[in-house]
Amino acid sequence: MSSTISPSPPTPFAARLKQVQYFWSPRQTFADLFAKTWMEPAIPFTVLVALLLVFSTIVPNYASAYNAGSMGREFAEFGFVAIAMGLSLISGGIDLSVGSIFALADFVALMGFSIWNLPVPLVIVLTVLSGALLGAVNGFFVGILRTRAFLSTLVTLIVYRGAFDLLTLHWSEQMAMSSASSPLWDAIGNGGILGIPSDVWGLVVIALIGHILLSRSRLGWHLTAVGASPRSARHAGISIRWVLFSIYVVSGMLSALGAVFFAARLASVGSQTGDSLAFETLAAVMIGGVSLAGGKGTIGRCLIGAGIIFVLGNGLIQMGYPGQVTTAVNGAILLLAVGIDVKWSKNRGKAIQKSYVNPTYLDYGPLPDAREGSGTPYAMNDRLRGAEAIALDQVEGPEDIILDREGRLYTGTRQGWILRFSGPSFKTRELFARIGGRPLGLAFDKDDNLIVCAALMGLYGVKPDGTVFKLTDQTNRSWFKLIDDSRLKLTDDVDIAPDGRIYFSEGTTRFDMHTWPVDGLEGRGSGRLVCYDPATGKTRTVVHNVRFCNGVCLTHDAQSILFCETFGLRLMRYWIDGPRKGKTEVALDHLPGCPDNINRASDGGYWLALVAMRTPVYDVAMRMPGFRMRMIKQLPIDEWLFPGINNGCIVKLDADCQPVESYWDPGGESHPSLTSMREDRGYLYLGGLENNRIGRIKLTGVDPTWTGCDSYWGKRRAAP
Amino acid sequence: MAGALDMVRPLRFAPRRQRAIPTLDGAYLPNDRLDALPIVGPDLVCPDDVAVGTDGTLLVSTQNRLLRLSGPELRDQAVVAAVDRPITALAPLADGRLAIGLNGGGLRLLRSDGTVEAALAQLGGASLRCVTAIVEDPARGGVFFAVGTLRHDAEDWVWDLMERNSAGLLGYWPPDGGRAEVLLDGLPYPNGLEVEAGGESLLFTQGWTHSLMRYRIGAKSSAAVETVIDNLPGYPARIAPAAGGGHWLAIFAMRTQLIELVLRETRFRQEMMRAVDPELWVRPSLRATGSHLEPLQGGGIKKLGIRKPWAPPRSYGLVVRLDAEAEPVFSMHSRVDGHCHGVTAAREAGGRLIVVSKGDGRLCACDLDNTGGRA
Repeated sequence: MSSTISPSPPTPFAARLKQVQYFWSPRQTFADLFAKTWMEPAIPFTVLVALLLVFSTIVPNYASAYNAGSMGREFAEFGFVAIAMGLSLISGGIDLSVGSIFALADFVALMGFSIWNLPVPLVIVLTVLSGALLGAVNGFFVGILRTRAFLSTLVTLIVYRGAFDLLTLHWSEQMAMSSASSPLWDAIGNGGILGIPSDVWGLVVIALIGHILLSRSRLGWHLTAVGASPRSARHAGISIRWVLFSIYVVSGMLSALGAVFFAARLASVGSQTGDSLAFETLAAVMIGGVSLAGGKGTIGRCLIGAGIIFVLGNGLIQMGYPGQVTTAVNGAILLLAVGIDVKWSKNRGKAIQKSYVNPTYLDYGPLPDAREGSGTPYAMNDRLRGAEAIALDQVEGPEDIILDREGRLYTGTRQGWILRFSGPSFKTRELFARIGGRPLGLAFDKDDNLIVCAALMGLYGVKPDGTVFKLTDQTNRSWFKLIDDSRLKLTDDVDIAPDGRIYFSEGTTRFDMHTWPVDGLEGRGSGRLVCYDPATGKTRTVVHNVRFCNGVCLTHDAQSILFCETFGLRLMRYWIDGPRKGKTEVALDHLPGCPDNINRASDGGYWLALVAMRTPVYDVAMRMPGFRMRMIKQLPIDEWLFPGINNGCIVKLDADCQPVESYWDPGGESHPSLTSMREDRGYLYLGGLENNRIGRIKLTGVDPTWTGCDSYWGKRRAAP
Repeated sequence: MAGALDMVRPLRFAPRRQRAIPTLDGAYLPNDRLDALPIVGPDLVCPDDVAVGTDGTLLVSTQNRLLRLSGPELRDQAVVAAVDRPITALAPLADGRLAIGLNGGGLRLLRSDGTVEAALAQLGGASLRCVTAIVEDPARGGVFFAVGTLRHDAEDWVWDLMERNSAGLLGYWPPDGGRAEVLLDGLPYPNGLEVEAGGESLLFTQGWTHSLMRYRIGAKSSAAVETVIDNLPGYPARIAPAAGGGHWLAIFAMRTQLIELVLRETRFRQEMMRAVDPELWVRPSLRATGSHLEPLQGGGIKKLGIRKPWAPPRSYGLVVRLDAEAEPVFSMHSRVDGHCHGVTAAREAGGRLIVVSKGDGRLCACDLDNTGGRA
C-alpha cells in the first residue's frame, strides 16, 4: 500500500469525536419536521401555551377554575366566529361581515326569546337560519355573481351594521325590560356540563364536525381546492359557485351560533356588539396559520389562533390595561401574522430544501492499492478493453442484465422498458415489457417470471409472455422516523430464496434516481434490505440504515443474502436461514470502490461490480462534512465531487467473499459506470447504468454450461 | 455600523474579492477550432515555449532541450542546446544570443552555438527557480523576465496556486549579463511577458488572479501597474504579439467552480495537500489523465459512452485573440473531449500561428488568413 495514494486519517480519538459530532443532524431533523404539515400550527400552539403560562404567573387567580370557566365561555363565542372567518379565508376569500351577522343574529335571538317568547329550540333554529340567510347574501354575491369577497362583505358589513343599529334603537329598551325566562336558556347562557360551559361543548362538537368535514369530506376537499386555485378547481370539475356560496352560508350560520350563546349569556343588545369581531378573528386565524392566499388552513389552526388573540386580550384586560391597548396589540399581531404568512409560505420549501442534505463524517480508511502492477487482487488491467459490444447504441442504461434458460438476454433501460436480445449474436431486439419507472435489478423466479426492481415504482414481475404484474410497492413504516418511508422508491436489486421469498434492496429513502450520488456525499445511509413473501403478501424491512443498499445475491448454500453497501464500501451478509438467522455481518470490507451489483459465479464464488472507484480527494472530502455541505450549497450538481464513476471494475470473489482478481476497463473507454455482470455459459456479460451497450467477454477455465437459472432453480426446463 | 457590517460580511457571505467565473460567451464562445488544427512538428514530449529565432526559424523548448524546427510541416529538428534541467522560458535576442529559463535553475544567456555565456541564479538573495517568461528589451538590449514564484520550481506551480502565494516578480537583466534588478515583486504568478510600445511598457499575465496587467517601465509610483483584463475564464500562460496589432493569449487551464471553492476552503485544501498526491488534487491541470484516482465532477460522468464537452474541465485548451486595445475578439478551444489541452504558448511564425499544447505534447499550426482575418 503506497502512502501517496492512501491519505492517512486523523487520530482515532479525533475521528471518533467527529463521528459523534456529526452522528445526529439537527438540520435534518429541522428539514424533516418542517416538511410535516402538522408542524405549522406547532409554533402558534407553543405561543398559546406560553401566553397562558405567563398570565398565570403575573395575574392573580388567573389559573383558577372560576376564571377558566368564565374565560372558556367567552372564548367559545369568539371561537365560532373565528371558524367562520377561517373557512372564508380557506375558500380564498374573506368574510368581513361576521361581526355584523353576529350582532344581527344576537338581535334575532333576543327578539325571539324576549319579545316573541318563542320556545328556546325554536329561537336557536330561527337565529341560525337568520345567520344562514345573511350569509347567503354574501354567498350570492361572492359565489354566484363572483364579486370580490373583500368588497362584497365590506358592503354587507356596513348594511347589516346599519340594520342592527336601527333595530336596536327601536327594540333595546323593550328587550331590557322583558321578563322572559327559561331554565334551558339559562343553561345555555350560564350553565354547563361537568363544570365545562355549555358553549364550550358546543364549540368542541362543531369543531370536530368541522374538522372532519374539512379534512375528510368531499365538500372540504373542494373548498381547499377552490381556495388554493380556483382555475384548477374548475378544470377539475368542481363547481366553484356552489362551493363558495355554501361556505358563506356556513360562515353566517357559525357566526349566528356564537351569537346564540352570547345572547343567552348577556340577554341584552348593545351598540358595541360584534364591533371588532371581524378584525380580531382575522388576526386570530392568520396567526394560527390560515393563509390569506387561500387553500391552507384547518379548524384546529383557527382555534389555536383564536386562543392566542383571546388569551392575550383577556389577559391584558385582567391586568388592567384599557381596551385600546388590546386593539393595538391585536393590530401588531395581525401585521406580524401577515408578514409571516407571506415569508413563510414563500420560503418554507426553500428552507427545507436547503437543509435537506446534511453530510456526516465518514472515514473510509486507507485506500487499497488498485494501481496497475500493484499485485493486489484489485490491480488494474485491461481485461475488459476487448469486450464484445452487444446492442451497441440500441440500449440506454442497461443497469442490470440477465439471461434466461434459452440464453436470451434481458435488460432494463432508462425509458422504463425491458428489452430482450436474442439470436446468434443478440441481433434481435424486442421490447419485452414496458414497466415504467427505472428498471434496475432483475431475477428469474422458479416459474421463469422475470422479477424486476423498478426504481420509483416498486417490485414488479413480468410473465414469460410479457405481462407485467405488481408484487409490492410498500413496506412497513420505520419507527422513530418523522418522514413516512413506507413507500418504496429507489428499489435497486433483487434475488429470490428457494422458498420463494424475494429479497430486494432500496438504495436510499431520501433521494431519487437523479440525485442518488447525493446520498453518497451525505454519507448517512438510509437504504434498506426488504423482504417480500409471496406466500403471505407481506413486505417487511429486514435491514435498516444501509449506506445505499445496492446489489443483492443469494449465496450458493441459500443460507444468507449478500448485499452491497455502495457508499459504505463494503459487502454485507444477512442470514436468512440456519443458526445465525436474522443476523447481519460484514462479508468484505474496505473495497477500493463503490460496490454495485453482485451475482453468482460458476465456481461457487461471486462477481462484484464496482460502479465507481474511490479517489483520494473524495476520501478527504468524506472526512470533512462542512466542506461537502458548502460544496453542495454553493455549487451546481455538475460541479460536485463524485466518486470515480467513469472507472469501474469487476471483482471476482471466492466462496468466502474474498477478492481473487479483477477485470478493468481503464478510463472507462467502453464500460464506464459498470454496475452489473452476469456469468452465463462461459461468458461474462456486462451492464452499466449510463452505458450505450452491453459487453461480453469470454471467460477461461469456467464451466461452459453453467447458467444462473440452473444454479438457482435446477436443470429443468420450464413448461413451454 | 457600516464597519460592523463589513466585519460580519465575510462570515455571512463569501469574501467580496471573490469573483464569478465568466461564462464562456461572446468572444469566448466554445468551439472545436484547436482540435481541428493540423499537427505540425516532430513528436515532442512536453513542449513548453516557442519562439522565432533571428534567422526566422522556429525554436521550441521541450524538456531539457531546445530544438530548431524546419522543413515541410516542421518535421525536421535540430538540437540548439541541451541543458541539465527542463527549460521553462525562451527568448531569442536580436544579436543571435538566446535567453532561457530553467526549472529550479535561474536564467542563462546562451551564445548562438548553445554554449553558456552568463547565468543568473539568484536575485536579491532569492533563487530564481520558476522563470516563466523572458522577453528582450528592444531599447536597451537586455531581457525582462517573469518569475512565477520564488517558493517553488516551475514544475511545482500547482503548489504555488494551492498555497495561494503572491511570490512572483518581474526583473530586468542587462545585456552584458551583469547585475539584475527587480522591477515588481509580490506578484501572484506572472506567467507571460510582452514588450509594448517599443519598450515603454510591459504586458504580463498573472496566473492566480486570472488577469492581464500592464507595467510602465520607469514609473515608480503605484500607478505604474494597471489591470488590462480582469477576471479571465482561465489561468493565463504566455502572451505574444499578433501581426496587425493585438495579442495572442494562451490559457493553460480553466477555472472551475470546484477549484475556486477549494481555494476558499483553507482546511480542506491543507488536508488535501498533506494527504494526497498533487497529481490527484482538485486542481487545474495541463492534461487530465482519466485515471481512476483523479477526482471526478458530476458533469464529467460519461453518459451513453460520451464524455460531455461542457463537463467541468480538469484540463482544457484555449487561445484567445486580443485586439490592440486588449479586448478579446475571438478564441480557439479544445473542449473537455478534445485533444489539444494545456496550451502554454501561441506565437506567430512565418504567417502561421504555432500553438503549443504542452498537455497533449503537440504543436498545431493555424493559418492566419483564416483566423487572423477576423481580428
